[in-house]
This record gives sequence, structure tokens and C-alpha cells, in this order.
Amino acid sequence: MTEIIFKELDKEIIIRDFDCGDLEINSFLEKLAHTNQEEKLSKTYTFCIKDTNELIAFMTLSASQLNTGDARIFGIDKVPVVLLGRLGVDNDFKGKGLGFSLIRIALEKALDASYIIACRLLLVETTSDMKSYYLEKVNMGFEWFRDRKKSSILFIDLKKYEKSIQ
Amino acid sequence: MNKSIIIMMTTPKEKGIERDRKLLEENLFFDNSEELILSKQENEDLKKKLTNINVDEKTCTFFKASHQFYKQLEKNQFIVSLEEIEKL
Repeated sequence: MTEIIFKELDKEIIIRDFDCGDLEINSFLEKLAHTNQEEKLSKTYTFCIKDTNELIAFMTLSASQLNTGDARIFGIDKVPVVLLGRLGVDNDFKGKGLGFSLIRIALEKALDASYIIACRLLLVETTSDMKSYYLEKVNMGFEWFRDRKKSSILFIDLKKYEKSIQ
Repeated sequence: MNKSIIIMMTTPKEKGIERDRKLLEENLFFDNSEELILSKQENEDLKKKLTNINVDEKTCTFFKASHQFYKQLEKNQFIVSLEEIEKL
């Protein structure tokens, strides 16, 4: 049985062998994750092997907003959101449910944040070929927001999440 | 009696495609390089979605399970086995 622990990124966690197959995500973890956390620009949460403290999956959350432009939604021009900016699962641990578990935790963290500072949505961006996977196959409550050239932005409405768990 | 046995084999190319697909899964990257400014249509669409907070049964079930998962994780000092995660 392999025990893993969920915790905030700290200096003791071993990240040197982490490889999720995406150079940008790997690079962020290696070069920016700690600094961003110290500077309060993003918060990184991890799954690590309990015995060895090796990082096997992580995600980052940060505050962001959707600008409504000239229009208004509920009378405001900026909808506050929690951005799930990066999520990476080490190649050796893919397909074991770690990614989905991190999204589940992200929902809780975002909802907690919404009780302190208002935020309405959890926003994620996925590759175009994974769009239907997240929207249809995996019923995690994602709704479609926008397509970009090679990706799609999806969101979960935190008010709906809150209503469901009460 | 002739019996023909057909052996289905995955070609190396198919295995490569499947491996790449798996590698794509579970990673998420948000391109934050430009501010998200909603178009008029997007505003209207989003407003409709945010105004109607009814949740379908499947989504509600997922949300509840998700919440339970976190509460259990919290109860166990955020320690869980990889095997348990796989079962979810």
C-alpha cells in the first residue's frame, strides 16, 4: 500500500524527479512555484509519497477575474474567480485518479476562499481534445466558457457546488 | 477442420498514440497571458448559467461525493493510500 499525503508546497518536498510530460508545467514547478508562493501570487498544493516526500502531483490556485467589458453581470464588470492555473501528475502516477482528486480538492479550497473573499467560479483550461472528456464523459460539473485556438476554458460554478453539498 | 485464429495486436503506432493521450490527461495549464474579456454573447450566456443554479442529479452526486472525499481526507490528516484514490 502506497501512502500519499496532501499538503501545501514547502521546501522539504522533493521535486527533482517530477516529470508530467509537459515542459511548461515541469518548468513552473521547478523554477517558479516556490517563489510565487512566497510572493503570494499563487498557491501550490501537492500530493507526495508519505515515506519519501517525493512530489507526484500538484496544482496551483490563484485569484483572477473575468472582465465583462461594457456589459455587466449582476451589476459588476469583473467576476471574481479562482484559477486552477496548473495541474501536473507525474508520468509514473498517471491514470490513478490523482488529477481528479486534485480538482475535487480545488473545489473545496475555492469554496472556502469564497467565504473570505467572494469568488464565483473555479476556472480551468484544458486541451481541445480533452474538452468533451471533461464536459461529457467525466461528470464533474464543468460548464463550457470559451474555446481558444488549441484549448477550451471550462468552469465550475461555486454557488452550485455549495448548494449541492448543503 | 480449418480453424483460423486471428490475433489482434496493437501496433507500435497505436501504443504511442495511447501513451501520448494518457500523458495529455490529468495535466492542466491555464494561459493567463491575456486578460479574459467577455464578449456581449459570452456575457449573456454566462449570466444565464449563473442565474440558473439548479444542479442536475449526476452533477449533484459528484459534488456530494467530492465534498465527502475531502472531509474524509481532512479526517485522516490528509493521508490516503494511492489504492483508495484509484478506486474513486
